[in-house]
Amino acid sequence: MKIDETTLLAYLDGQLSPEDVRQVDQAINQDDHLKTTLQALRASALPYQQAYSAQKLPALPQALAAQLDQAVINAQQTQEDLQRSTDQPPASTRRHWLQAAVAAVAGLGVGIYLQPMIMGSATESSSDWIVAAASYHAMYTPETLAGDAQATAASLSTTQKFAQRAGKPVKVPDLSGYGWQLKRVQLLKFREQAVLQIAYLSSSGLPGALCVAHQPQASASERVQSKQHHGVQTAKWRADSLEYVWISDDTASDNLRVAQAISSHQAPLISALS
Amino acid sequence: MVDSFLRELPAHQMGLWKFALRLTRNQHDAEDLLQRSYVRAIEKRSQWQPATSMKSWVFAIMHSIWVNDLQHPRLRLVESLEQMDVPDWDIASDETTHNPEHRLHFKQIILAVESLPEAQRMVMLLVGIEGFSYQEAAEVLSIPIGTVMSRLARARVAIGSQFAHHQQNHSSAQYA
Repeated sequence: MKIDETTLLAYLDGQLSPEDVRQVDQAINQDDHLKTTLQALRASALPYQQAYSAQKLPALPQALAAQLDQAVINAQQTQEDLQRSTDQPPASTRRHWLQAAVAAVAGLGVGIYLQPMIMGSATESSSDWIVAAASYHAMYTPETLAGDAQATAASLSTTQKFAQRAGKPVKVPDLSGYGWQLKRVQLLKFREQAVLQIAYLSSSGLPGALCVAHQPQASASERVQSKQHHGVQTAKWRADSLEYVWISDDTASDNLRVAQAISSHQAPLISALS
Repeated sequence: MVDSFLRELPAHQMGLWKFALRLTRNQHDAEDLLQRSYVRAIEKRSQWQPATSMKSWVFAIMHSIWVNDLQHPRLRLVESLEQMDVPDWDIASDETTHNPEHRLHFKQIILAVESLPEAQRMVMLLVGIEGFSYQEAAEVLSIPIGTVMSRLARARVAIGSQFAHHQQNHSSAQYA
């Protein structure tokens, strides 16, 4: 009989046969390691449920609870409709329910997150956050950035907050000379890291974004490097512990040209007076 | 007539919410995980066998969505930099935990579990905190029951090694 920590746990839980118990007793008396393991298992009999029950967890948001309840009501309604209408084809009913379910969760606002699709496609030369940023950007359409641009003061304020947290100066480039109009600045999160996204729309309706992340462990500067991720062009560089990437649906050469203009400070900066 | 699944599902809402918080350790991800799990459970409810535990079936759906769809790192929008900070889920101060020493002990227990390797933490959450049987935990995690038992035993040894010196002062009977 092999005696390991699993056997010892079963021994403590009274799950072993009398013969197995006798063998374990004998082994413990002869093996100090088994004795120590048994002591640890005894010491691990702790009030886990009570400890976790005492934890102050965030309350389930009421809006989310209401949406979940509505999803159940919708499903019940669909089921009752089906039972009343015997001539309704199953495929149609299923579609009805799926539409109801999607409608039930579609209005959750901050509860809806964007999928990364970064699993197999990350490359060794690109930071994970850049691949995730490209994945995020790949879902942008011209409509994503349609409408009025964010107020310049709000864009600069968000940028300033990010810069203060990073302890590094971060500026918003004015890319209008390159055909890109500033639309908005927003904060994103990758793992526990803040990412600043400065979004632009080209004169031909293409979305583009300059994304910045603070990389305190990477102080060495790096020149601009181009790569395609998730069908969008990326050009990344690093300076003063900040990693930048310019992402767009542009051609690789035009994408690189804009990135070089930003990284070399040829592009002017947007100021509060803009 | 409404099926029993739809009648019973709301009773698991809070349990799923807590499990989502503990899986993700993040309120925003937990909200996303809960809503996806709910929708998928309703979609697939015809696969649930009424003679089996609905709780373990819906927990299995949630665990599967977390592992397969959501666990990979991704970008998401935050409203402010304050949202960047990891929430501190403190121990409530009530009649059970009014004693600061007990509260500290509870915190140490949670820290010990949360510091385990993820596979062991998951088994501890299901068996030690949620009260699932080994068989039910095996079904939730889609692993053999023997693997559940060995992970649980390794987790308990790791935790017990940290708590061996506490045992004289803090028997679990104090909290019963």
